[in-house]
Amino acid sequence: MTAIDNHVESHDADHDHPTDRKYVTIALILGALTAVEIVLFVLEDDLPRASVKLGLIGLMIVKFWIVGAYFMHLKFDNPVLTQLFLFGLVLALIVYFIMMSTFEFSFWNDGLDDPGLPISRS
Amino acid sequence: MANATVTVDTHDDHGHPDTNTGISNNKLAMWLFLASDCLLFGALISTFLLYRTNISDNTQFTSPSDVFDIPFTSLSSFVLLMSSLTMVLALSAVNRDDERAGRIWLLTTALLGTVFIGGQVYEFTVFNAEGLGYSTNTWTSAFFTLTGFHGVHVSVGILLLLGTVFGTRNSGLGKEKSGSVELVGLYWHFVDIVWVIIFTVIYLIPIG
Repeated sequence: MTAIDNHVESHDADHDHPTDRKYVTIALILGALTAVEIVLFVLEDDLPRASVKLGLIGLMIVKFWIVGAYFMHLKFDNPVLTQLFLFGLVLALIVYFIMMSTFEFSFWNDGLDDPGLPISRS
Repeated sequence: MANATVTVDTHDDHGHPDTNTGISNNKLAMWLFLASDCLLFGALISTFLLYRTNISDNTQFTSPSDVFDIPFTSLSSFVLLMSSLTMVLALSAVNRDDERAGRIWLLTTALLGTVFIGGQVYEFTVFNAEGLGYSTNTWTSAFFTLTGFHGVHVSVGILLLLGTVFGTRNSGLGKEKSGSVELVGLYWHFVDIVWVIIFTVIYLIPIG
């Protein structure tokens, strides 16, 4: 795809921007998803812990995607912007996953039960 | 080559910037900044996760759920979420050349942001009254640093919104300013999605 093709694609996509009514609907959906999150939190003791965690993380990802796609217009803008943002996001996830794994592994090796106490060891 | 020139000229008529990507340099720069800001918040969230169990050090609390006021924070989260709606409505109004509605929605967004910051100040005050200061333990340090940095981002966003409203009193806030309003909007929505993550990971997901 050439730069000019990108240009045309970007221009064509601009005509699909949501209407104000659709923005309100999207906001109501976001509010409803937040309410579901609260319900999951309240029912935390009655549901399997893993289900609650997975449910909350799933809802968080959906809310993140909705705001990014519709409110930040990534769904309608040039894909380069999505790729740029995802690059930063994925880089952050990889770097900090490795960092946290290093801490956790070092504590397993030391035979400590709680991996969340890196400073108080000394 | 001739065809390409004609295509670009046609699109310039619709207000699209004449760049290789068809994206204005300012917008590209904002997205680059937001992508790099992911790394900042990633560091702060990871640090908090590493210290998430340390709340009992030097305090009488055994779990973060002992100190969090989830109904209150949920309301704050909802307010920030709705400020994203008013922000897109502001951009939509500016794109329609409806200056009055644009200003009203921008001011409403700033007001909702201020309510959120007020809630955060209240939460910090309550924590402090309960003996949870910045240096009480590693949990409080990580918590105040993360949520404080987010609060600073929201405050900067409020200043940008007010600057957009009051800085355009003479020049007007018509369709020609939609690029500037869009940049402020991108920043504001980013602050919102970062809070979506903080609210879930820090406040809602149970430890253990």
